[in-house]
This record gives sequence, C-alpha cells and structure tokens, in this order.
Amino acid sequence: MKRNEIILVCLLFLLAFGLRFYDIGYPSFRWGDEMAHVPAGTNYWLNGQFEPDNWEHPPLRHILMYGFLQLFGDNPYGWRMRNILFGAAACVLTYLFARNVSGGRKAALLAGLLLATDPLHIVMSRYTFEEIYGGAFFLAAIVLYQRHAGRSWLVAASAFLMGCALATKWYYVPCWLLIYLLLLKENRNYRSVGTAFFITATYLFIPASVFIGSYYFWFMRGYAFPEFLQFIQDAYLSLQTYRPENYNPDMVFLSHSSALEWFIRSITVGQGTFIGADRGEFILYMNSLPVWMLTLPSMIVLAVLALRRKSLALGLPVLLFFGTYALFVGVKRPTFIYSAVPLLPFAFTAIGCLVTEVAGRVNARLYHLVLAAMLAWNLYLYPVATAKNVPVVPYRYLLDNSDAKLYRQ
Amino acid sequence: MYRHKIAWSLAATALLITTIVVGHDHGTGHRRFAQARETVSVDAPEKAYAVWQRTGVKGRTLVLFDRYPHMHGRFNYQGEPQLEHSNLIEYSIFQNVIRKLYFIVPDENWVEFLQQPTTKVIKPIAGLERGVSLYDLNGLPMIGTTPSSLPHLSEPVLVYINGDVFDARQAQDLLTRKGISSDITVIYQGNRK
Repeated sequence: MKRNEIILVCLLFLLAFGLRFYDIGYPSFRWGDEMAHVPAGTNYWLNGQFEPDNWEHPPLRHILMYGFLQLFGDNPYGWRMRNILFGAAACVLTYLFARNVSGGRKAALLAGLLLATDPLHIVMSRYTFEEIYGGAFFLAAIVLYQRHAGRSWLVAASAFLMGCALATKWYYVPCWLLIYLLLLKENRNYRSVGTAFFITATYLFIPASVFIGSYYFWFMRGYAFPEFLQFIQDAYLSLQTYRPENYNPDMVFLSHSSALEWFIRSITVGQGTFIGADRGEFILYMNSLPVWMLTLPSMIVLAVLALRRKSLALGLPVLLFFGTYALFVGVKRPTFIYSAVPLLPFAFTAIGCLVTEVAGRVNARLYHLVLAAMLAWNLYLYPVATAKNVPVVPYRYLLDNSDAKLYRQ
Repeated sequence: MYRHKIAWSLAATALLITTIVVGHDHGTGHRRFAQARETVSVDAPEKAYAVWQRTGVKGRTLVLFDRYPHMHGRFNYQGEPQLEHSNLIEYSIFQNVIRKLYFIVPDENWVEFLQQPTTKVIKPIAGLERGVSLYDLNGLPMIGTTPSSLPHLSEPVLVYINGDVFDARQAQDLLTRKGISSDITVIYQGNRK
C-alpha cells in the first residue's frame, strides 16, 4: 500500500470514528440493550452468569464488555467505546475488502464511505449491539483470507478472528464453512492429505477453540464438557423457538421481523421525542433505502461479471452476502433490521463495483456524482439516528411513515 | 505452498484439545460436595441457602420437590439478586451453588404443567417417558420430570423438598429406589402459600 493510500485509509477511519464518537456521552444513562449488556459483562466475568442478557448467544461479548468497562469505567465511554472503535475499524476493513475484490481504489473508497456514513451502522456503533464488533471480526477474517497468498500464519490469524466472530453470534457459521471450503478448493488443496489437514486443523479447530474458550467463565459454574455440548445444542434449539410474541412488547424492532424487506422497502424503527412545536430528538434504526435498494441489482451484476471473467475474487461479495442473507431469510425466528449490519460491507462493495463499472463505461464524472449524492443522503439522516435536536419539518415524511415510537415532551 | 503446515496443524489440534481439557477441568474442579451427609429441616425457604453456604457446596445438581412458579425467570433485573423468601433457586443459581436442576412434577399434574405459559420446552428428553428439557432466562439447564420418570443420577445431588407440596418420606424413598444419593437434603416445613 502506497503512502497516499495509507493516508486515505487513516482519513476514512477518522471520519468513521468522528461520526460515531461525536456526543457519545448522550444519553448519559444506559439506553436500550445497554441495560442488559453492561451488567451481563460484569456478571459473566465474576460469576459465569449471562444474566440479564440472553443465554443463547456466545459470551465473547461479555468478556469484551468487561474489558472496556475496566479501561474506561462504568460510564457512557466504558459502555460504548467498544462499538465505536470496532465500528470505525469495520469501515477500513470494508475498504480493504472492496480493494481486494475490485483491485481499484474507487470502488473501495465508495464502499468504505458508504459504511462510514450509513445511519444504521452509525447508530448501532454508538450503543452495545454485537453485530458491530462481531461483524468487524468477521470482516477482518475475510480480509486476511483474501490476502493470505499461501502464508500459513495469515490463514491461522484469519481463523482466530473468525473464531472471535463465532464467539459473538451464530450468524457467521455459513460463511465460516464457506471460507473453509474455498481454502480446500484453492489450488485443489483437497487432493493433498497434508494440506487438507492443515486447512482443516487451522480453519476448523482454531475457531472452535476460540468459541469454546469464550465459555471459560461459564465452565466455572461447575459444568463438564459433555454438558457444554448439550448446552450449545439446546441454545440452537431455543433460538429456533423464538416468536415475535416472546419479545418484550416495547421492543422497537418488532414491527419489522422479516429479512426479506431489508433491501426493497423503507424500514424505520426506533424512538424519539418531539420537543415543542417544531423540534425533536430521535434515535432511528433505518435502512438508507436509496443506497440499500441498489444492493440486489449490484449483486446480480457482480455475479454476472464474476462468471464472465471467471473471477472468484469478484464473486466473493456475492457468495458472502447470500451465504449470510440466506440464513436470515431461512430461519423460523424473527429477524430484525439490526441483523443486516454484517451484510453491509458486502452490499456496499457490490454497489461500489457497480458504480465504478458503469461510470467507467458511461462517464467518469458519474462516479463522483453518485458518491456525493449517496453521502449527502446518509449525512442528512445522521442527526435523526444520533439523537440530535433537529427541526422536524425536513424529516416529517420520514417520521410520518415510520414505525418508531414517538412521544411528545 | 503453505510453510510449516505440519507444525501449524499439530499446534491447532493441540490448541483444541487443550481448550477442551482446560474447560472441562475448570468446570468439574469447581464442584464442591459436603464432607458429611446431612438432612436438615428449615422453617423458611431462604434458610436452605444458609445450609448450602455453611457446607460449602458449589456447582451442584439440585433435585427440587416443590412448586416453581417463576421457573422461566424474571425480567425485572435490578442488579445482583438479594436472597428473599421467594427467590431461593434464582439466588442459588446466581451464586453458582446450583448448575443444573431436576424439577419434579407430580405425575397427575404433568399435562397441566406442560401447558403452563412458564413452561418453555426446548425438547423432550430421550429415554424419559415424562421428561423435558427447559431453560430459564439465564440459561440454567432444567429437566422437568415426574417421580415415575426420574432417572438414576450418578452424581450426588442436593435435594430440596417442600413438605407442603410433597411428602418428604415418599420423596426420600423415591430417591433411594432410583439409586440417587444426596449429601444435603433440605426439608422445608411451613405454611407457604
């Protein structure tokens, strides 16, 4: 990477960090899931207890939470810095991923900037949602896989980060196995027993070790390994039994429980307060539809390009996107908009590739025009994702058509 | 292509085995059993915890002969729980005295038990005619079963009998018939509503 590009990547990180960090002390009390996630970090570290968080999810989240509480204290910084840092890192990782896919800076920059300014990614980076750091681990594992070029230690490092993702949420299982199969397929590695065992041992055993290791404090409660296997099986079964009526009725995400909607229609949930006649503060979780709706067409174009050029690198975002998305569409339990976050780096990479490809054929200025328009739209939504005191009029149509819980002061 | 692949393969395999062994030993090493067998009567449920605390038991299986109306757990988390009249089990779970629970339901109440909204069945237990796997909100493995289906348990257990709900002698006879040994048996006798 040349010096100019390193500067570009640093600027991207600073932009993403700034958008996420600004005014992070507000609200000064634990908000939403923080009420469960923060005490669960301490309870897990000290007692091996998941309370009051869900027991079905893997517990690396609690270990990280406890670490950040120790670093920054039991205050808004301690609760939120983990997501801010991992969220900003995810933007850089998206740039690197898209760079490896497209081979050029333009598509990579567009993908990185779209994630840096995406209102859903920003709002989730400002609280304790596990999709932010789990997604960052996952993306880091993918980037190292892309760059391994036969270097054993990079495969092992990728496997370790994949283990961290798996120890955060189960979302990443299909693509973990997909990467494992791609490693086996690469250069027909499956034909050599030694190489196949190397890939199996590193890419299956290391993530499994990280996953099991994250339960170290749970074992402290007296459990044996066979009980662990039973526990994991039961956790999986329990997750399948979730239905909308099992959730707290006040949960803001309940109005949209199908993953099929995410990239084709506007979804706006969350909550907010009208202050006086014409102002308000809102924390909205929304898809930035003018950008997101390009995802599926971009995936189709990228898939066609990958097939024509016989390029696995170009098809990788498509495989990873649908490998994860199929899980959300296929499961019986409700899937809420926040689960879309791990898909965004692949979606934005595909959009970046599409825009760059079209601009290259039609008019080079088109790239800048589209980039400016998308960023302007995302930044316009920024205040209503981050509880800024804003005039209501410019957002009236959005609020009127939202499913957010809105109150009057 | 890959350098040192045998070394990496062996290291990754060793890592997995070590993780499993360390986790297993860490877990079983935290189980604590009482020095001597003891049967204690208490006049308040929370006094059972004092017995368990005095004998130093930890990481144990509890066979519960009682009603358990908030078996699925409670949403109202208000910080670390404090021991009260109605939360002996939750408190003991949080303090890591209990790691697993066998909840005994009278045979005649089994169907009604399965239909209760607090009974969130994960799966039926293979080999038990009346036995289901349940979890509370905090992930404590619970097995709901009846006296007739209670399996033999190889590990010594803690026993808690609510004398207002189950006949203590019959419960103890049942455990003897099933070959289940207990180091601490607590019998609660009171006028609990």
